[in-house]
Amino acid sequence: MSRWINILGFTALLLKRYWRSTLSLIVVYSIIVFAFASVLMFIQSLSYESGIVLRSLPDVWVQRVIGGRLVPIDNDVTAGLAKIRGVSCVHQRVWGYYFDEGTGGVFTIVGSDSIPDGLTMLAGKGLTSFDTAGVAVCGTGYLELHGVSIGSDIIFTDTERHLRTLRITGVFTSSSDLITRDLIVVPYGEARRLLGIGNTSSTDIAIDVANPDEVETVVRKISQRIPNVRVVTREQLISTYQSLFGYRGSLFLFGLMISLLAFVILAWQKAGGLSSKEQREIGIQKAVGWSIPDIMIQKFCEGTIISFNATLLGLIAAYCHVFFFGAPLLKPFLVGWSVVFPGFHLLSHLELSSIVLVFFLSVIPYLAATVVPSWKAAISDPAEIMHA
Amino acid sequence: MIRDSWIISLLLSEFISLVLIFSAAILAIRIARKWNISSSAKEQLVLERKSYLVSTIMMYVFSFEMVSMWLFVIIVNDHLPPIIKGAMCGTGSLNANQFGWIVLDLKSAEFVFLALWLILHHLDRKIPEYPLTREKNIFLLLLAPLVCIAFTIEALYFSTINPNIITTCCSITFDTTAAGSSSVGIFSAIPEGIIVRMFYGLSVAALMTDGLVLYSKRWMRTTGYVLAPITGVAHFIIVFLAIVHHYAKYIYGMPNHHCPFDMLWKEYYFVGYLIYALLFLSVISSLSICVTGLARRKQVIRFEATSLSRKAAIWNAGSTVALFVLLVCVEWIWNAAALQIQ
Amino acid sequence: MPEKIIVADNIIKIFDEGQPNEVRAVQSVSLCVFEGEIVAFRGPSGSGKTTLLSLLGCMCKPTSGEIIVCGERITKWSEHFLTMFRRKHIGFVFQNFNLIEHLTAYQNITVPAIPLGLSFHEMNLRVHKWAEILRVDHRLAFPINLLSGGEIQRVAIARALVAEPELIFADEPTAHLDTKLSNELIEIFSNLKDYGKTLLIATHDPIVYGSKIVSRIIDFRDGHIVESGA
Repeated sequence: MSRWINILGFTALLLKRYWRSTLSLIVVYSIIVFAFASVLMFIQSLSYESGIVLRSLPDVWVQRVIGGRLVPIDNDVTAGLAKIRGVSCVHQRVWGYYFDEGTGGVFTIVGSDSIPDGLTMLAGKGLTSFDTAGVAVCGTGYLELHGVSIGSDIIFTDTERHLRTLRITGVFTSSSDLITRDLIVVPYGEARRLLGIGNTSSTDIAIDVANPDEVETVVRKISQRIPNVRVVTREQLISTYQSLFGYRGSLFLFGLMISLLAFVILAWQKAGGLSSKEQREIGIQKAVGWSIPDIMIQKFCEGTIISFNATLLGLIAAYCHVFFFGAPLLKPFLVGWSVVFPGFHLLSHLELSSIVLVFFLSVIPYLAATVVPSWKAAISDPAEIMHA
Repeated sequence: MIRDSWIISLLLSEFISLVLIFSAAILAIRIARKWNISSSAKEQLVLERKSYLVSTIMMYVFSFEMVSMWLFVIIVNDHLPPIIKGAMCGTGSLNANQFGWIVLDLKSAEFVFLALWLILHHLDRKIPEYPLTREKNIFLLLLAPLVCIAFTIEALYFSTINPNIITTCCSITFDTTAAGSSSVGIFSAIPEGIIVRMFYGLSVAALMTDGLVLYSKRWMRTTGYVLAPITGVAHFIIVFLAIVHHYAKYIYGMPNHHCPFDMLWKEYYFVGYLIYALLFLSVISSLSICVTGLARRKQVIRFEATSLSRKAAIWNAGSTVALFVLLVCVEWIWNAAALQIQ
Repeated sequence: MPEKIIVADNIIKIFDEGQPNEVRAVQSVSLCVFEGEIVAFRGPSGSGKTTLLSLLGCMCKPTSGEIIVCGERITKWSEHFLTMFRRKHIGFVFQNFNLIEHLTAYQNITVPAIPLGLSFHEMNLRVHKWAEILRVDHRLAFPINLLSGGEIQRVAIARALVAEPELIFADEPTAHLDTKLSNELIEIFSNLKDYGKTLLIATHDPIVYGSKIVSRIIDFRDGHIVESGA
């Protein structure tokens, strides 16, 4: 152990001597780590945040699909669903998309007789229920696009080209932008008129299951009893999002592989291309009693110091990039595009295993690349010093 | 599934290990063929230097494999279950296709054999003449294909996972009333009581074998060298089965929870790391008794090999006892607590 | 009666054996060195004395013959074991001293001690001990390029001594020194003998081989010993 500590101290001394080349290598290295770590942190935060958001969804929802397209489902299906053992609650949902011609934005209209569960961040009048028709609660997207605020009247065109005027009585604050940015909550009647859904049908039917372990069983029963329906579970949606985030992240990762390969080649050349001074110094060390393993430990320490410092620097830079600056270099590529874009703030969520993964991916290729060059440096002949 | 960042990272590091070990294998061929320590020719000096490269590569590969084994467990136990239908832990992830458990078996074997190579290397370096260099390099030539196979199967495992196919989790896989199709599930047909008794018996057998190795009479030591790998491997398998079929439920406090991986989680105080560290230490030390016993046949290294085999026997005894005490205490504490509640 | 500390029996060293550029650097050399002796290897450049020093100093292996150093038969040892042995038992003073320029005197002296696994305290003690004996303790914090010729010389010797070896090998130590420094070096070597060190010095400088401290001179020519005497 003393030997390792002594060699580590000596290595640090030598690195301090050649600080310019060491620093330039660390900077390049940390940029690559920064890129990968940013992607990882971004995706992890997004997964975590979407996980929280998606938890508020119902356990199961049933949709009617004809020719692969979603169509309104008859409300009389509700009775049959409620009879299934294990189902604790069934409610019809009226929601859909509204294309706002003036701005090109697509908004989500949700019909409700109260503010939907899970949306606890509100500004404006106390809104525990809608008292009258003709009111709406909007997300910040609509307000910003139209330049309106609480108390303003907004005009929608329903499916029969009739104009409907609604008054904004509340606003979802920007901290819940991820789900409320494009959201407009209106009374059921208004929603049906705007979306063209009759009183005898709904967009889909949401189901809560008493025992979460029985969700799959309930899904199977629904599929067996009711034809032409698609049954989606919350867990499926969560895993789909996670796969999507993982997939997008891996796209970046593949691209980064090329940078990593280029860096590994650089590391190989740096480790192997010793200056005559460095070669002489190793020769002296060999001559005064350093063995090949000692030199290789020195080179290993050198590689570890460089790779750990570069990785740490890259991680810190990535953390700042993603959680303080909102990942401006990544967001456009990883979250898609929209006219109504949530200006969401990423939740700072970083797991220890992700930090370890970054170290894993950055340190191992570097150390592997420096094995052979380190060995070549270590096998210099001490007798040559005698004859020098 | 292979598009996932974690899996790409794991496969990349495994690929690096594979490239390294194959580079070492190419050098090992020449070293094994041409090695002659008595020669003062330049070629011998070159071979000695290449031998350092080989041993350094092997140390790197061992370290990388140790970390990637941990990463593999994290991936199958934490990362994959939310994505694979029906998987609640590593057992479910490994049951996702026919390769899962094979990957775990191969990685465990790879880890053990890499450790054995390093032990052989450590022994070889004790004598100036490096008497085991040839044998060491031949061993490496046998290890390299194992690493390659493990990597291939691992890549196949990850690439053929279909997250939509429902997998079975531990309560079904390790159900003793029905043998599962996994390499572990096959043993599930053995009744729990018999597995526990075999655990006790093999622990005692392992300790007796260690005693034989430590004993000074030559024929007893030789018997110990022969028995050590048998008892060691059998002990390893039986302990794993005992953990899964019997002791897991005391660790988790649930009668149907047999998962060998959940005990690695924070909720169970990471006790799984201690259990598996002791288990691997036990099997590696028992196999190294055999390896050092074989090395004793070379006169020049007899003393060093005997000394190392004794140390291995002490480590084996220590880890066997520690594992036994740990598992039995878990059960005892649980039963004592249950009695108090009653 | 002093013990034999080095025994060489019929050693031969051939470089590039069998090649057109084959060189027979040392040919059938047999000698022995006793504890506490200061032996000078005398001969012109290319006579094989530096190669012999390398062989006896465990830096390379002979083509044939037997070498025993400090009671150990080292001829069949691997390079690694030779290195491990050399760093404990043999200290080298090189022709150009070969110090690492950007390090201080203190750091240079510690270089051989680093891989020995000594504690920091022990290393520190040894460095200061030999620095004091060699009168460079006041210059330990200075980088090498700020030291005088004599100080560099003494730092190089302190470096050779920090591992507390029994043997000190010096290859043409006065090659780049003036007369005054050469005489100072002779005085230092004389003091080392008082510390129980055995010295082997390869030289063609009459100041060295003509000095009173040398107990024996071994003459070399074309890889052979031509004469050996007190």
